[in-house]
Amino acid sequence: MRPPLRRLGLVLHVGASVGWLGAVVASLALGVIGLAAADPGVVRGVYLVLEPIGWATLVPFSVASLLTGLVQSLGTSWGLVRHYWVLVKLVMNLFATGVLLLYMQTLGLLAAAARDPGTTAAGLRTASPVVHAAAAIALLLVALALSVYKPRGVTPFRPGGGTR
Amino acid sequence: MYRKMVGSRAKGDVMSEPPRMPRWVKVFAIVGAVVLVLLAVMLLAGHGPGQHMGHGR
Repeated sequence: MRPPLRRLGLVLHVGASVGWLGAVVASLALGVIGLAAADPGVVRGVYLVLEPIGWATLVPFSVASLLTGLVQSLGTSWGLVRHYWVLVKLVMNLFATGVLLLYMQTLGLLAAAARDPGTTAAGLRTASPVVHAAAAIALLLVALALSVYKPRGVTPFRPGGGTR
Repeated sequence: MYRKMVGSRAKGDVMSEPPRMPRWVKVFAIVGAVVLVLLAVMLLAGHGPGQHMGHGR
């Protein structure tokens, strides 16, 4: 990739990844509000909006981060499987995106329960969104650290033989 | 001369033996394996979509 295109790709990748982290932090805040709020209407509102927020921000940003990361690694001399830090980030991103897509089912069930007027606020409260969001933040921060520090180490899979 | 020798030796080493896996990668691999085992245990124990709600009515 030519340098201007490479920089644009990097901007898109960093933007998507930062957006993903921000969306997860917002979900964590909502999850905490859902657990701590005294007003049943607020609790119901939290579990109603977690799902649309997930589809509107978490899923698009995670997929965008994965795709832009693939383009960025394949389009530069870093390569997709040449350096361990890139490979580890790819595995972490695939894992996080997969878990997120599975977890959207849970958020859908929580939203359905919140729409049901027969469900009480106490019955809606769950630590699950908080636990999942906290784990996602930890994973994304590790991925961020890998991107910044770029720890040394090349894999045995080096098509072409170049390092950088 | 020295530079040339060092350069050729380093290149020869890379060509003759595969690069070693760094310690940080081994740590990541162990942590990842532990996380996967924990997830498998939780899934087998019933953790999954629909298992989080208190079912209170």
